[in-house]
Amino acid sequence: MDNLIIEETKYTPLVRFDSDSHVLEIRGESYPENIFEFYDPVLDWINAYLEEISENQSVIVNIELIYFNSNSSKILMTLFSMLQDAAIQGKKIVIHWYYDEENDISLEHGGEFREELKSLPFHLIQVQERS
Amino acid sequence: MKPFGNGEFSEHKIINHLGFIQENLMPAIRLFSFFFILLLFVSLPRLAAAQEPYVYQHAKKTVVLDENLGEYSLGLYAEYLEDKEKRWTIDDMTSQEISEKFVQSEKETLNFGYTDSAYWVRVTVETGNQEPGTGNWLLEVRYPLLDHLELWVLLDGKWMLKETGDRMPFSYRDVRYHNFVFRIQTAPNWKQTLYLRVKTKGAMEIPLTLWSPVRFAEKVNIKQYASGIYYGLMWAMFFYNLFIFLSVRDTSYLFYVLYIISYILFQLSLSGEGYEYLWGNSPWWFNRTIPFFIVLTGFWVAQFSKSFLRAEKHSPRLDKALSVFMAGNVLLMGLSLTPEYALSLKLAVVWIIFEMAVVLITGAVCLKEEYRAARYFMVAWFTFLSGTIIYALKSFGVLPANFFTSYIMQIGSAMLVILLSLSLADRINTERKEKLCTQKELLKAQKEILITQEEAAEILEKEVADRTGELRASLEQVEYANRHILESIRYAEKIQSSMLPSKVRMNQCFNEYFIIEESKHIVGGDIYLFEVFDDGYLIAVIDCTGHGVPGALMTMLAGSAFKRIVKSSDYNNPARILKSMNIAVKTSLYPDEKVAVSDDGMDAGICFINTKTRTVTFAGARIPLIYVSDNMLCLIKGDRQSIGYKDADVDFDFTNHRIPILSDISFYLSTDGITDQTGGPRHFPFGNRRFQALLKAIWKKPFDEQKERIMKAHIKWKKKEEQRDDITVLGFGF
Repeated sequence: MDNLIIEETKYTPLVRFDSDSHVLEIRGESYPENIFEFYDPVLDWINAYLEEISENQSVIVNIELIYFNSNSSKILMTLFSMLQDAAIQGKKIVIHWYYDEENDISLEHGGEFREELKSLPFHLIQVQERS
Repeated sequence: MKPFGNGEFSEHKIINHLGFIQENLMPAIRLFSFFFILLLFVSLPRLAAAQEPYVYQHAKKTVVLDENLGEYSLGLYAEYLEDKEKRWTIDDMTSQEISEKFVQSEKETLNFGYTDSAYWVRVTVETGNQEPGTGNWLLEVRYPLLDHLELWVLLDGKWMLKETGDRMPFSYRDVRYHNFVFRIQTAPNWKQTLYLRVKTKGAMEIPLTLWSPVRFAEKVNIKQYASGIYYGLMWAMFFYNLFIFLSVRDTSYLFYVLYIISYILFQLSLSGEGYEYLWGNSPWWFNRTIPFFIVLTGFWVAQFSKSFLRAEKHSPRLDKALSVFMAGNVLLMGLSLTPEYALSLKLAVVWIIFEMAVVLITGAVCLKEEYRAARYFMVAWFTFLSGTIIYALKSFGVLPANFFTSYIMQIGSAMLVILLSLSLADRINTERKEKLCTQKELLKAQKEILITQEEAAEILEKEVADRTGELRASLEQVEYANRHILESIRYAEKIQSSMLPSKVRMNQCFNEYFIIEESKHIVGGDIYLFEVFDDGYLIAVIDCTGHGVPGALMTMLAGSAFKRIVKSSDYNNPARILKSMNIAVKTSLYPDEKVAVSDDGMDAGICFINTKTRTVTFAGARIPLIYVSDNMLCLIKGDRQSIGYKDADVDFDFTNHRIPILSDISFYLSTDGITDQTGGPRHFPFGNRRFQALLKAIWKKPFDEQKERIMKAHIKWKKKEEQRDDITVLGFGF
């Protein structure tokens, strides 16, 4: 299946879903005016991807979001729920939630997601300041 | 001097009207006619030169001199003898044996061609007895190129010798004239036979005329005048074209003036005038001038033709051929300076004839190639050739002898020079015209390009104007629509603000408080509410999903739900209020769950301040309560449960938290607008830590100042970043 690559904009994050290496990435900020216009294709791709991959496929999901609004938060929850369902089916899905030590909001959100998603391996990873 | 003796005489009148002009130009004419005849493949090269315009038919042996007539052409009176061994002397001539060997001349001019022999010529002259007869007569030999002449006259029984020739310096001449002239003294009843011995390496041509001094002066007068005209014209053409060359720098002009000067020098040599006026003290040089200047002229004619006809372009082979002729010319020039100059003259004449043929062929080829300049070139050379032909025809007696036919060679060469000058001018003119034409076309093309560019620019301008007009129109429409929308939003703001509590009532209840409300747009999704009851008052901060108009609509829903709910007995129980609001919002937004199209809701934080018990009861739906007391900051996280979303659990029970009101305590309710705002050096959200540290630093300050500090901190953090969300911060103390 085709990879999904969406370039970063002021309101939307970079999306790079690689179906060959099975690494899915979302980085940047997310506060689009119309949340569905941006995220529908993303969710559709995930849906199709999860159906296509084998039962025990390893998938790494890297999330590094500096800021996202409450709508984006709800969409992310939807996305994680889909991944959690797949993980429950046996797929080896791991979430890496990257946050900067200076960004307590991101850490807090990550923590909240992890608490919600009991059946999804969800790691909070602090990143050092990049020069 | 005494009269000469011996010889037979008969009386004849010689009438020759044109002879005096012709004979002085004979050398040049002879040479050109010689070329022409060779061109026509006539095998008698010197025949043409033999013809004289007037022939006296009753030739006997003696010339009877008459002062009134004063001019006698001696050709038909003379007898001649070839001296092959060149060992006879004048004494041998008078001996019976040799005397009888003399042959009577039958031609007007004695001509023996190229020969190694010496020739003896004798003429018997007498003066009539009726005449005074005493005086000088002049014997002219009209061919200045003879090497050595001896005139023998018997004087007092002794043979007297007069010597001349072009091997001797000019100053030695008896009469200083470019032809050879001997003075002969006569007396009444005088009769004498004159002996002339001639030896030369060139053509052995001996045209003899006897003149009275008056007639000779007349002849020279006219001849000099005609020569003056001719040379004047040639020199004028030389200088004129030289100046043209200096101004236009066309090398064709240079070759042309070099050709003219070469031809002038050749003409001067041929006529003997060069010897007379220019190099009279150098017999060695004079004998070489004719072959030298012929080939020099030929050299420049070839060079000029090459350059003028652009032969290399039109016919490379003929161009090469002309180069070969030029090389030959140079070799012959060299040869002419050696003792073999006589041979060089013969070769030069043949060489020049073939060269002229090639020049004419080149001209014809260029004419065929439609090279315009070749036309005048050909006209010029054909004029010259026509002159040569006319002269030849006159020489053969086909055309009458008159001034025109006699001078035709001079006229022809002058015409050639003039026409070539014209053709040069024409060529320059043509080339200039062509250049002008090209320039005009170029200019025209440039103009057209310019016009096209201008047109394109015009079209572009018009298009831009049209587009701008369209843009302006649509901008006006947009502005109109925007104004319309803004007006309606401002009105919505009015409606929304009508729901907000009155500041007066809040002032009555709180000792101190502040409210920060910074909507991202005019209206927003944040709202705060305030209700007063008997035993206290309720304060709520609600953050609805979205901002702008959608958020504002949600605030209306939240506000009306809140106001309805707090009318019940649960007004002092924030947790119950939240639960009721959850149900109310869900039922108003999604009365039928199956067809719900949106998923909206809100976060909220509600405090009931019981003035009787001096406690604050707080319940939060994802909105915390912060309070600072005694430099301790406490944060009570609300429940992690939003209100009104589709997946919100209607059975969820929110938690109440009770805080006793101490004397020194400040409470803060805030939506995430301020903590989520990105900015700072790395574009991160402001964050909870930073916000809490700020509150800790300012909690004791007057609330107005606190508001100011928070706003300053926010603005400083945000800098040029866009505001991310609606901001509401509520602070109050007692």
